Amino acid sequence: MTTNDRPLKPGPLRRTGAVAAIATSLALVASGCASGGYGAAGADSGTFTYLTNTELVTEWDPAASYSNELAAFPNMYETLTRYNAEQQEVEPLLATEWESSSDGRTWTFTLREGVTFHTGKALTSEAVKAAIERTIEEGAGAAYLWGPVSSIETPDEQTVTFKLSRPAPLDLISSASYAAYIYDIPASADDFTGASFGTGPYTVESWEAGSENELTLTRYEEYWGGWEGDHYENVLYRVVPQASTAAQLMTSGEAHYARQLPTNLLEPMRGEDGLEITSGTSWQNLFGMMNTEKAPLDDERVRQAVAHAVNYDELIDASEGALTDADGVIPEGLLGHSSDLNLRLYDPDRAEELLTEAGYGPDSGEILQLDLTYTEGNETTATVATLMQSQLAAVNIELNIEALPWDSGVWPRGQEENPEDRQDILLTYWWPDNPEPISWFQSVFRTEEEINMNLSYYSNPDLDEMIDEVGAVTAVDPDEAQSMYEEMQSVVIADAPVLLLGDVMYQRAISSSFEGFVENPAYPNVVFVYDLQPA
Amino acid sequence: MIAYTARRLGLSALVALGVVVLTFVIARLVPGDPAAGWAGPRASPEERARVREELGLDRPTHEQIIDYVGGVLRGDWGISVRTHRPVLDDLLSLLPNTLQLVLAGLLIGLLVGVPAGLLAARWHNRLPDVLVRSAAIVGASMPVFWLALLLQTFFAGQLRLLPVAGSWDADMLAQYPLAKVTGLPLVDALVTGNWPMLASVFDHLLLPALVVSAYPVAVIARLVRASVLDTLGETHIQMVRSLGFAERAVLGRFAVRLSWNPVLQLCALIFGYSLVNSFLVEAVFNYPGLGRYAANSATVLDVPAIVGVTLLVALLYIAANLIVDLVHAALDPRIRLR
Repeated sequence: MTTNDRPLKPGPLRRTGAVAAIATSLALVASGCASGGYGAAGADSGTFTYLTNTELVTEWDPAASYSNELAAFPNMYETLTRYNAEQQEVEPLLATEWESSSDGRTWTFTLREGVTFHTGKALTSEAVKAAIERTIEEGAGAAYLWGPVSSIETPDEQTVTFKLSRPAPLDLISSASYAAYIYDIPASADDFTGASFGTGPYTVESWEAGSENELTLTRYEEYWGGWEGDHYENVLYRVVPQASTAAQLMTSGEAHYARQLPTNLLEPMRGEDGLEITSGTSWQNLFGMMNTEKAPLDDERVRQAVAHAVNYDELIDASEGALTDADGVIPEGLLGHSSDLNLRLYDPDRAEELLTEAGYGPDSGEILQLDLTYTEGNETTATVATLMQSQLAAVNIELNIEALPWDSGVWPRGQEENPEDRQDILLTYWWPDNPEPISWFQSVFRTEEEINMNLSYYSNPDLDEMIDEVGAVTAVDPDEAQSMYEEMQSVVIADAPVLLLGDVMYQRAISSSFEGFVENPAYPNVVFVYDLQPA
Repeated sequence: MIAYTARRLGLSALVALGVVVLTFVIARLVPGDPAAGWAGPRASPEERARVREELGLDRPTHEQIIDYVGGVLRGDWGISVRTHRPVLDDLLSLLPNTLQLVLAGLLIGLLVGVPAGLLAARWHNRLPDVLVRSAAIVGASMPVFWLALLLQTFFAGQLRLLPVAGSWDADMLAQYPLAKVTGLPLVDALVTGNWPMLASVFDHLLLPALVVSAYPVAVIARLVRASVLDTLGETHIQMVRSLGFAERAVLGRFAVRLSWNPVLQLCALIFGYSLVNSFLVEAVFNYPGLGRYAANSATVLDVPAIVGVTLLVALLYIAANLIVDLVHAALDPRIRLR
């Protein structure tokens, strides 16, 4: 573009067309603003608005669901029992009572009366049997949880009896967050899409994949709990990937609950009118998984040295509330948790001693090079990785950190055939699929033929044996199971295949326009909307 | 004219093919395993191997490209690894929102940019000119995501005059469902007389459209100013002046006419630029368009979706340029001969 500086004759001052056009467009802007009036009003219209940072439903089949849709499903689908993490006990839901035989191989559940599915069909023992048998047969997602079940019997309409091939805590399994839903079976599995076949308080009003207002639920008139008292009529799941936008929606009162907000956005919201910042323990913990098949971490002493060289308090402080001290492998609220385990604490002297013993350390003149990988996009993990880098530098370990996508970077590298091609340390989170601590041991610490989630490549036959026994023990003797889990954790701490970096704290912004919200780590990120009382 | 159109169409098809091949190869070169994304974060190795075979990921890249191009021609743009839905369905459901945003930005750009350019030319080197030029520099150079955050914080966060994010109120949708006529929500609400929905869509569109319009307003104003100033020295304008036409008519009726051609061409460029620029705006305002989709797809290496978005944007860009060139050629016979 060229400009031309030829002089222009000044003309008479008149209201030109250009001025009129600008005035018009300004008026347009003003009129748009005036018709607004956004804010708290939207929050009290009987709709509970849940903000999620990722798309919600990828799998509609309640048998196969194993992902983000967990945030919505418990409002549509119910399980036989529900786990209360605060009391550490199983509570009735679709089953009012249950009992197990003394050998833990026969479990009998009595069903609640007067329950109907959203299809209109009554909840009977036959329906329960059909749903669970279908889930087992599909074998998708977390269906493995029902593994011990060998047959299901229906002595009468309201009674379901499970026969197990080995003792297992079926009351915990039937409380699982995945694969434990009781549903009516449609003619075709495709019918599940965008609809609800459960017994829960809400049914699907609309579902628009990819839309920002992805899922709307509305109350199910025939819900067995009834609609007396104060309840929300609708639930809206809004997909807002941009954290700053989610924060704006919370402060302006357009939403009730934000699933996840980074600390730097939460802090300024503290003390704002109409908002509460809550913090609650989760069943999710952050591990640094060490490559036990590759030098130098194949040497137990080097792993133990790294575990002593990490300053855990500093990590927790830097996480600004996103992490809390780990007491062991099993977080609080679960069987097997203990705060008396002999954890490896920050002890740089001990770390140096161990390294020297193994032939490394500051005096050896050799710098240990270790590759650390973690999944990108999580602020807390990034902070932890960066801090660990400077902490380990103090004992002559140079940490090369790499943030990669999980699916295409971290995981494939962790599964390389040659241990030398894999990372040395991998930061990852783990959480259980049902209110049982066995998940950590079964998936993370048990010997694997083919690499899946045991990304320390850790193998301890004695531990494997205990893992195979503990499920049955849990069913008949919880006290014995408790001490077994404590012992198993001690083994893991001694062998040091992982760094226990901290337990995740859920930090959330919620609106103070309702009461009754309880964080239940057994159902991560779930809001049981029926239990809330709008103000 | 027919020969010219045919030649331009042929060239456009070649460009589109090049885009597909390049995007495909680049997306394949990035290390990663889309099958793992499809099967989920805790899938077993067997499950992933099965998915890899099912998606054809185990076959050589050139075979995959040939298959893909064949599919695109048949309207099969592949299945998204992330959403598990046909990519073309995903894109077509989001495209109207993005088009609406970009076109609204372009419209504001013309409505504000052309008068502002005239104003600046009329009072050349005086206060209006200085103001327009300064505003144009700010408008063209301020990062859109920053402008978006500023407007969002001020108008929605502080004043609460406009909604923070989204494309309409969810409550509204149940009560006043939107009929699909053109696919553009604003137009559909208008033609079906759905006034409450129209207000909701308009309120939600206003801030993002203003942000998207910042760049068009700036460049159009500068182009109009420069081209009018250029023209003013020409003999035919001096002729018009000497005939005693008012200065307003000289500028508004005669001088500005010569800037229509460059403005028209600029619009095609702006359209392409705004398409991509709107991606960041969509992220801030959580506006459900192609940008949000592209960003979400890229983070999980959803190759069919990434290639799909790229191809669609390329096609739109090519189409915009083609239309402008054809209109141009129809108006000005000299172009056809080049």
